[in-house]
Amino acid sequence: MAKVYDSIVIGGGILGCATAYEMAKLGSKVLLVDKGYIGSGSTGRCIGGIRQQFSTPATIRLAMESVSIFEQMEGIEWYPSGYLFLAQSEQEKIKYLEVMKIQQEMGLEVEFIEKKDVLSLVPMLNGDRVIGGTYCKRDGQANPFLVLKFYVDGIKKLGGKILTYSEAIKICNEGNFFTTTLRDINSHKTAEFKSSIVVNAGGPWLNEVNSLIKGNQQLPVISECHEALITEPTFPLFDPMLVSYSPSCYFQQLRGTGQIIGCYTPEQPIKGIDHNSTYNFASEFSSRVLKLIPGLADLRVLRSWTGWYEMTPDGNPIMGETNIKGYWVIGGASGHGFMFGPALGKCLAELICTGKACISVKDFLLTRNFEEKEKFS
Amino acid sequence: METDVLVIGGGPAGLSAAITARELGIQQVLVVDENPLPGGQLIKQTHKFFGSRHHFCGVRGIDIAVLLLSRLKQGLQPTQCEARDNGIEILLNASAVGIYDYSRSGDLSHNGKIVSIATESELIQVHCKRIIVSTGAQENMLNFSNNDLPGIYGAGAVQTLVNVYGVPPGKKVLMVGSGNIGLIVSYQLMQAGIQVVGIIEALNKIGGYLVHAAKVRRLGIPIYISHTIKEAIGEKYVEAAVIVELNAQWNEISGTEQKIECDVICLACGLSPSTELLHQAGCKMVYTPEMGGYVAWHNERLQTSIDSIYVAGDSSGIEEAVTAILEGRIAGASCVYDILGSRAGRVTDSPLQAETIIQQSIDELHQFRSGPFGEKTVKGKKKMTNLLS
Repeated sequence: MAKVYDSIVIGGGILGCATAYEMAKLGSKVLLVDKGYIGSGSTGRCIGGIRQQFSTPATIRLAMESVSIFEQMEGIEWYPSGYLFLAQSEQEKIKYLEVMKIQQEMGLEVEFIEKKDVLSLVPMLNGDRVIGGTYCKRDGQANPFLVLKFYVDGIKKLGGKILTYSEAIKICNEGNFFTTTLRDINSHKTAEFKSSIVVNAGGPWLNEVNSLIKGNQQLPVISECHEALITEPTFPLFDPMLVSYSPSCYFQQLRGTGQIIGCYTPEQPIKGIDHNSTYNFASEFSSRVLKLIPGLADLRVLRSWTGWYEMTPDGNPIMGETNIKGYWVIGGASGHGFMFGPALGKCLAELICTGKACISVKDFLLTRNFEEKEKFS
Repeated sequence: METDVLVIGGGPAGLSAAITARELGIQQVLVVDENPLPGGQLIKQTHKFFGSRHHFCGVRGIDIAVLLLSRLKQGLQPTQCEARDNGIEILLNASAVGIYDYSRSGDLSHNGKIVSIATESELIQVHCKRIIVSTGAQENMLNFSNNDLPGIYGAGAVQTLVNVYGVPPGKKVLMVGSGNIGLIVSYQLMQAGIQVVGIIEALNKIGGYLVHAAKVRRLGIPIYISHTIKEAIGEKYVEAAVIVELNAQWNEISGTEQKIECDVICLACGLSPSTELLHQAGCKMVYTPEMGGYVAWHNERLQTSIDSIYVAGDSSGIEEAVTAILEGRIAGASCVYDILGSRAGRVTDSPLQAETIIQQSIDELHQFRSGPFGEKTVKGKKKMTNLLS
């Protein structure tokens, strides 16, 4: 006999967890499943930065909503450390100021600060080429694993069920019901679950899950490999996430542990879901960071790893119901899943359960025009 | 930097692998070791080995290290990095910190690996065709109150202090664990004039060889079986330990606590293979308690699930120096077979010789493990094979 739930959420990353939690809060009996452990995909590999400095009203609004949710969560190591986009040329400054205008119109507390203020925020910064930066002190950081734990605990408390190491291998759509077959990764035993709602939050495996449902179109999401690196802990040195375009990299110091953590975007996208890390990244990232903060030279690298950005053509997330009634998707956050997650999950849950989200999400629906690109990817 | 075979860890397994690979005709072999001296644990093992005459029976560990090193090169000076004219290079005070593929760095045709090695001052990139990971093992820690007090050592550290540097760790030592390491180190401490106040063992029997146990008993050291350590006592350093008896279910029997005065608590409660690099490299890992925990899956030729990566010695499963040397030979010869055997039309008998050495050493390993103390390893290796098949 198949067990019956109101909704089944596939994927235990930030998007799946937030959606399942918010749906449970709205009274839905949810089952959250993941083929690995909770956070075994992109979320567990992200560096924990949370910003609101985006370039379109829709993304800025979404990120602001997310931050207001992060601020309310207990025990997630949320810290408003800020994001500082370094301006290292007049052209960069002009571009930042243009976008800042949109951000300020949306009510975001963001300012352009001069070189001396940049250096007082990050005293160790090599200021040779820095002319200033846009700074939002209400951007911040949180621990991705603790955020997931917050959601997992919440889902359980609300009576939801979580199954890990359970892979969805078949989804049948019969009338008003979906029958999802899950296979236990270890025992290979299968079990069937019925629900009227299926949410695909498969992250890098979004299209893999999508292909289980017949009659549905391919989703406009492609996974790309991005590497990250973390150092040993050190004394508190600086607060904000530093974003630089020359050399291209972004990194921050984790408030909880004192470790420096960061990434850069590969010049040529590396498509796929590769786990391997490279020598090039570890050495290249280190040398880029040292150009900006030479004083970190003695810090030892603990490890580097590869995570995945689920890219959409316009760099913005996708969410909403597909052309199959009851089958919803959430994903394609293009590297911003962790920071958008709480708001995006909440909005999707509201759409599913009440028909209306607390903020406008029309720019994230599958039916949108994908041509308007996010400038701060 | 480029090399044909990179050996990570210059203990008995690594040195034996390097010698074998070089002797069979590999042009370049690089050995890296994080210590200031090569030889691994051998350089602190002042006791004589057992086994057949062919396998260093009656030879002290420190002398085996000398033998191996002299075969590498006579009069080896352990300098930071010295090019050897015999084709073997040793890089000391250097840690291999990552194994990477070529493919993601753009060169898809190369099936070798890139290894990053951190020296005291820089990060070196080594390109190699084959890697032998012979990184040894790390000591297990025990959970008990105050287990971070100064004066609590692993047996390896005590052996290094006493036998390599001639520094006494303290005056009165409580040894935790009666395996061969616990027994031998106790004996060596007594030889060095340091009192061993007792050896405790959680099992209901002595773990190590009877001959070692008899030696320490003759010196009057009490061995408390079915006992564990409950607490270390001391303000700034260890002043005493509280031990307690265990019942058949391994639960503490209350009321049996005794306080033993000591200034050193030496932990000799087993080893775990050092497999972090193998894990990072992406080798399939299997958990086998018989081999000390997680090991990289490997076949009889010691090849892991990644073709270009081999294991040898304790990092392939906890055993001891003689089996490590034999495994080193197999891994070294297997690399030769891979590298030279694949070159079509090459006029050489190296691959043939390598194959002979591999088969001989596999046979010798089987013989060596056929005793009661080899049972566990045989069971572990069998279990490992079954886990992935």
